[in-house]
Amino acid sequence: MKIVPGDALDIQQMKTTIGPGVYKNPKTQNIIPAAAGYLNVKINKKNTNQLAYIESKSKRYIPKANDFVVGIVTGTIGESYKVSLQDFSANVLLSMMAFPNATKKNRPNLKVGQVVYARVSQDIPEIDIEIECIDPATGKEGGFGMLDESGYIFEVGLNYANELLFNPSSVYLEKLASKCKFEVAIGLNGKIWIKCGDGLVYEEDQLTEAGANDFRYTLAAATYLKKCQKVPKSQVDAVLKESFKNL
Amino acid sequence: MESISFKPEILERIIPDVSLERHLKIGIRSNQRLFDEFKNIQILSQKSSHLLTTSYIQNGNTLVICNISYGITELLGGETPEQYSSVYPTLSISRGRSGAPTDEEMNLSQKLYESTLHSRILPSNSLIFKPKVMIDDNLEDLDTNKQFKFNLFVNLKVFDRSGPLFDVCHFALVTSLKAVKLPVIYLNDSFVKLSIDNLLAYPDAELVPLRLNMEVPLVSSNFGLYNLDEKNLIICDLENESEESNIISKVNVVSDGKAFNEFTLINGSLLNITRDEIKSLLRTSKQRAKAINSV
Amino acid sequence: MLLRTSVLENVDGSAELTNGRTKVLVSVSGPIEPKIKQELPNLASLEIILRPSIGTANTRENLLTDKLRSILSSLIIRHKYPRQLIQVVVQVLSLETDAVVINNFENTVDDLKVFNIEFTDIINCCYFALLDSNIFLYESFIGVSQSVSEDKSIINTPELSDLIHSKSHHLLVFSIVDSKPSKIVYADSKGEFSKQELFEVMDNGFKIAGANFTEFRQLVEKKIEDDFVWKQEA
Repeated sequence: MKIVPGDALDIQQMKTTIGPGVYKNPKTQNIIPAAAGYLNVKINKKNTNQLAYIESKSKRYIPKANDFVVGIVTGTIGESYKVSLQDFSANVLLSMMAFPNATKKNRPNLKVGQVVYARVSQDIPEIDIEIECIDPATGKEGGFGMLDESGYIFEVGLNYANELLFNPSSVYLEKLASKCKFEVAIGLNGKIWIKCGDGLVYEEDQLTEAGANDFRYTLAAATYLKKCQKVPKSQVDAVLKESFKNL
Repeated sequence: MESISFKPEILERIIPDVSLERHLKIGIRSNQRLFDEFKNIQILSQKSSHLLTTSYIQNGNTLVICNISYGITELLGGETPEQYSSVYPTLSISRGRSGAPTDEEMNLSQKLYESTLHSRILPSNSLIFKPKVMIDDNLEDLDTNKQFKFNLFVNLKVFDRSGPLFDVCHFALVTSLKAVKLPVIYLNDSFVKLSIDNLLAYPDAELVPLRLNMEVPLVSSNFGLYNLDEKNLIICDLENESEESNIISKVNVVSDGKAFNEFTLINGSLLNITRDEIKSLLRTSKQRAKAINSV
Repeated sequence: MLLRTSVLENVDGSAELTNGRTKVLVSVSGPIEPKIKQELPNLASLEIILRPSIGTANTRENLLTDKLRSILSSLIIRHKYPRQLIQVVVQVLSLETDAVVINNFENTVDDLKVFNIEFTDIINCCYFALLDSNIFLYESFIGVSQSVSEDKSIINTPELSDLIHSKSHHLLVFSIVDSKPSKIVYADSKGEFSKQELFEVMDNGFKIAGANFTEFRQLVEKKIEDDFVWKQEA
């Protein structure tokens, strides 16, 4: 169901968890839709609890705890790295201790410009946001950490990044796999890191032939994924073909 | 933990919103006025000469000095002026600072300009004239097709600002306009070219009062609407920081006592404003305009 | 009325609205990091920049910006974005009075411009641009303009010639709840009018706002579908 700000939120009276796009007025305790998009209401099996959220298009990322993000290191401040999740947004902090097995003496050495895949660990808007590179369940790496420099980063809409990361029936990555082998890290902040084959490979400061070829595939894959956010499903195959036509 | 208590004036400075709510809850305002009471507004003095009209206006503690002077432009061939004209105001609020005009000063002067134009109080043909010519110490009509126009420049200076200024500035402007007298403009030698550079104001001739399309001065009144316990309170003539910055639903009405010339409403706190509330604001503005004009 | 959304690549939300001879483009960036002097501890600050179609911004644009700020700050949920900045840039692309400027009747132009004929289009374009940027809003909103002519008839969405010959003109912004006009967010009536005329204009404005919003809603729903093309069945 499509909803715009000002519409009545047509939900039942029960314990409600609100998600993106829904706002609770702290004074009146009213729950209102505050964005334009598709309203989703999910009620649990016992019929005691419901979840309401609006899926809407957005380009500006607002950090939420437990989101997976791709960030670029822009500097250090005390015991933390400053990390940019998006241009013109405030930097977030990545503690040097927020890596698996990090100690005072043994800590990661990240340089400005390097890229990390991380999880938002604290999202209070009044203070600095924090991210970490540890899987909270295992205390291990769990796929987080530095992303190597042989890949390529591009930006997409946040709702599309969400679709790619969380919709298991999404066809885009599956179709891409029919063209090449790739590694991908999707950040909910709209940044996607992708590498086809072995990515950019240098030998004695010279780009190797295989590296150049893999990079062509990487760029084609990025073009394909970017274009797909604007075309209907029926054209996805055509876009895939078009993006890879010179390879 | 120890509790700290503040005097009302200090509380008003540090947490104006709380101070305001507490005052309104017990039915008073920090400036000791009633909810429906306006600050007194009066003309302290007014003087017109053939160069300048000056008025001193007092509104509460605020003093406004309004000077109206004029300049002359030639109407170019083919140019048809609009039926009504406006004045060119500049305004400065004395706050012990200098520098570029503030947003408030710019917006107020623009508002006065637009208000004068849209209220249609100043017909263009009251400002258009044909110069005379001086022949043997006598002013005589000049045979020409050229037309000239007075442009009125308004300079407002505000001292001791304590609340929104549009009402008092508008009052100063309108009452000063009422007092404006325009001089006879003449060419002092019939052999020189008829151009602005050779025109003079004749100091000895009787000044002609500016013809306005306004029987009685228009009066502007401002109101604030504040939601207290699910009800809208109407507060007249906002004053002080706590009222000005925390009552963000505001209405401004300009009336001559019979009809209206301006109605602006900014509903900053998204209140449900009823028709009866608007009616009461309009009624109060009308009554106030009548009362001021009957003095 | 013609509308395009997401027209600009490098801002968070944008919309371009063409209505008769008026065309405006609005971009929204935010919430982004503010300059230190703009930062407010518990709510978002709002920076509004208005650029006219010809020349540079002067006191007229300054006053318009001020009005726009008071309207938008009451509708945007600013408490949602503490310590952040929301930047709205309004570029007027063309205006009915432009033709007069070009024809060089310079000194009458100022007088014509004070009718603010582009104001409702700016408001409406801001609505779409804000939705496009996903900035939270308390309620939807819509602007309507009307004029009352000498014979007391009300003209909806008057053109410049109507305004020049009008007795009074009125700009109204309504908030929209459940697709129906709800509260008056902003009203600006100028000229000569009676109490009765003012209420007639408000009632009529209420009606047009409701009718126009039906169109707005269709545009927004189309936009939502386009934003989620992958949800559409092949």
